[in-house]
Amino acid sequence: MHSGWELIFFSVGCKKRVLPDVYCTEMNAKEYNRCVRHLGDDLYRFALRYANLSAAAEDAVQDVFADLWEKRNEVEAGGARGWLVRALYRRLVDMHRHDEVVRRAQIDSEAAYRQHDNYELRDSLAKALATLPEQQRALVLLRDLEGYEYAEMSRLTGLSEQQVGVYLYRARKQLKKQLEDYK
Amino acid sequence: MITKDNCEGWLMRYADGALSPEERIAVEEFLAAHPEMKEEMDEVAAVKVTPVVAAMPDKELMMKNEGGSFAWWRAAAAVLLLLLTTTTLLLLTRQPPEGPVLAGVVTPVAHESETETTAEEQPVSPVAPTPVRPIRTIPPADIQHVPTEEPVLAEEVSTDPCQAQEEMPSTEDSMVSVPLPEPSVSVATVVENARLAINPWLEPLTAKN
Repeated sequence: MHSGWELIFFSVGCKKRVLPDVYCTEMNAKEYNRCVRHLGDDLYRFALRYANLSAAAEDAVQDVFADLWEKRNEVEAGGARGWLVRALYRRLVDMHRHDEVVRRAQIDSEAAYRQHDNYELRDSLAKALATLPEQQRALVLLRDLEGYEYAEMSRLTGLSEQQVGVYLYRARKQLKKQLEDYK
Repeated sequence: MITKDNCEGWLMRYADGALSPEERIAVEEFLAAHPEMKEEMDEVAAVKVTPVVAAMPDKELMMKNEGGSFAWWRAAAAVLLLLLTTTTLLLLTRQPPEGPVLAGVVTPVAHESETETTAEEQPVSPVAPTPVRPIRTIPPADIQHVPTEEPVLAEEVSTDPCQAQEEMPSTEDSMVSVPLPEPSVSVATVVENARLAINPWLEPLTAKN
């Protein structure tokens, strides 16, 4: 059993995952609710960093938990956390692509898109993240917020580990440049 | 072969500790030959994304019912158990009122002929046993003269139990005060009292069934 300190440590951010999948061993209603309580905030922070929009982040997290409940008999015991992160990643990518189609249809100017009222660019890091290509942003968030290893990111994105390293390097380099510009 | 054109992925994996020992040696040789890349790698690797300080709103709305029927029955059973325990304790701890209690026994009207019978032939009241010393015996005639505000002590009227016993049959409608014997409550009595106490609550339930 993990103590509350580990949960707090995890919630403020750490490189390695200290909240393993053992929290969701049996997917009955009680275990499902435990997943919602323990993982809901982490998934929401991940989605909020990715989408930069609280409403979109809420929708994505609610969708993946609804999917988890519907497919609770298919989810392997102890694998709920990984299942949720993968589902959330795919959900966010789909939302981003859909949003991208809408954006291209409605807004021609990239500058106008960045200043759209729906996007909550509250701090410089959020602004810098918004400038990254979708896949680079997802990899940085998976690595920094979820502590994913290279092999896991490779399986999730379909990239080789070397490509994951390249994207991460370029993403961090871009973030560094953007953050220096905002200062 | 690591070159400046393909070094990004190697450097990032090196900084994250995701290389094998052989690959680490190859990267260190490259960094030794290109010290400017070592400086850049350290700066890039230091950039980390921190989580936002936020919590998922309305998490309770996503939760599912964990099955409440069993919980409801547990709560009902707990209330019933508490009720039975309280009733039993109240019955067990109920004390008789302090001081003498009026027995409230009205002796039958004594006829003139019966007053002449002997003590052995006198009918004995079942609630006034012979060994119990009457505390107060007040003839009705005396009651008329005694103000009610001043209770008359038994010693003032009669201190001799034998004398009082002799006076009892000749007293019409006398009130005799006797101390109650020590209460002896058996388990069967307690159970019967508890059953009678909860019977009004059980009747509606049994009537429905």
